[in-house]
Amino acid sequence: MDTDDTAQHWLDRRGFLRVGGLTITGAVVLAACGGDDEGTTQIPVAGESPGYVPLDQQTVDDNVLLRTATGFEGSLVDAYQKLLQNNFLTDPQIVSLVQTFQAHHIEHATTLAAATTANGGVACTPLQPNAKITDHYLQPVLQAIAASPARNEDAKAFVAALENLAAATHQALVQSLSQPALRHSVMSIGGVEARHAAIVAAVINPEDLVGTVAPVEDAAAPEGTPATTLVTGLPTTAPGAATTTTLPAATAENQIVAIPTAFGFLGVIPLIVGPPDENGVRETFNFETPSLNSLLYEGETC
Amino acid sequence: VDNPDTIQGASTPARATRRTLLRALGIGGAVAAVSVAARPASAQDATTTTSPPLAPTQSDRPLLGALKVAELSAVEAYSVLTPERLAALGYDAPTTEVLSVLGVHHRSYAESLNALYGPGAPMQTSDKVLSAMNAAALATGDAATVLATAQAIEELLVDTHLVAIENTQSVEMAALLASILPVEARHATVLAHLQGQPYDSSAPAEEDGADALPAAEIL
Repeated sequence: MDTDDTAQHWLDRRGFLRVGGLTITGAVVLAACGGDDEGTTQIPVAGESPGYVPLDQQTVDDNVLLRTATGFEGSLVDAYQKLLQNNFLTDPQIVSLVQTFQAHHIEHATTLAAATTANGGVACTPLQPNAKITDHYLQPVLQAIAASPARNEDAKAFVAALENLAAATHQALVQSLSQPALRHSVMSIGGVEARHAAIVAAVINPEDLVGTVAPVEDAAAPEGTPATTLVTGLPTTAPGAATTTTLPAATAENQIVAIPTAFGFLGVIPLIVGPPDENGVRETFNFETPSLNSLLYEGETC
Repeated sequence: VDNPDTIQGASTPARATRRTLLRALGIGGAVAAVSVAARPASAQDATTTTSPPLAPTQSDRPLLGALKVAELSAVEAYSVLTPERLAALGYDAPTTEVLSVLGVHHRSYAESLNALYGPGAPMQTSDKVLSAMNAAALATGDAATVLATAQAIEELLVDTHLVAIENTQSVEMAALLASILPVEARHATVLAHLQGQPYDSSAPAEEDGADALPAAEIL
């Protein structure tokens, strides 16, 4: 018998929510059990859909890591070649160092390629850059340096950052490689990359050879630090001369220190280069050791 | 009367049903997880091989202990480079800073190696290592000799750690050594630079480990 009490029971708020919940759950179950009819899985979109191609399942093994390291050395050689060819570096001492580094990186690539072959992998030969690193990491920096009014300072900072990145890359590989002999091979190279980073930093910043824990933004440029001042001519409401922006030397904005830490550093390596924007702020590029999206997997073109 | 008590009573069957459903789902998930984990390795990934050990193995421990002794010996060697001695040698500020930090860094390395070793790690220095490092020259030599000796000590330790990496099974130990070696290489390079040695095409492209201290001789 439908009394007021039972009607109240069915129409109350809790009952309504319960029925609603069951309806939604049922809809989800039905949707999940639906077929995969071709043509009905496409979410409606405006314009042409690029579609979705799932990534191939890739294995990261010793050979992939060695191929990546080889390509990374190729990217360094390529970046230095562009610095030298475009005369971005004007300091003869740094130019000489970069030429030495470049020769070393070619030897490193040869060693790593030989290790890949000996380990049964397909070596990245002849030497060429890892396109993933060069195109997405290094080329934008080179373009920023090309547009910079302080090219020499920026190029020096770039070299220091690259060598720090190279040292970190080989250090990071040690914990991923499975064979002690391969760890030895990469660290015989990584030690020299660290030497590169130290010597170029010592030449660029001879007064500050040992790092401190102070963050970059707290490190004030010492008195007398060379700087580049340029007239930007930006619109200003203030009377007087056109606006100017002072670009500090490489060592002021970028922490370039020969012995920055007690242990090898695997964190992000920031690099500030390029022309300033309308607020005088220059672009920061963050370098990290190659990871899954930069690896040269088996079967990929080096 | 619709009061909290009656609501509680009325909803009991529904709550029991929901719990039952969740319990069933949980059991089902657990069964599925166990079945996946129990698959043969070949079915999971045909290329999977035995992973290297993370922690130092029994065979790694003597080498780990020897490296700690080597680092403690370096700390002992550099302990003579007090602020007074450095001032007496007449170094400039950057050189003094570098020579002052060497002992601090090597103490950090000894402590890290000690932590990885765990209880029972050796705590002593080695006369053989101190002799190989020519540590006495740091106490008695002139400014140039001290720089050259410090550089030689750092090169010795770079080589020692490089060879140790090749003889280490543990991933954690290899990673620690790989974080120490590059900084010791930086020490050596900066010390060479401070002596006016050029870094040019004659510099080796790779570390060779030729002057490594044999672990058996350290202990």
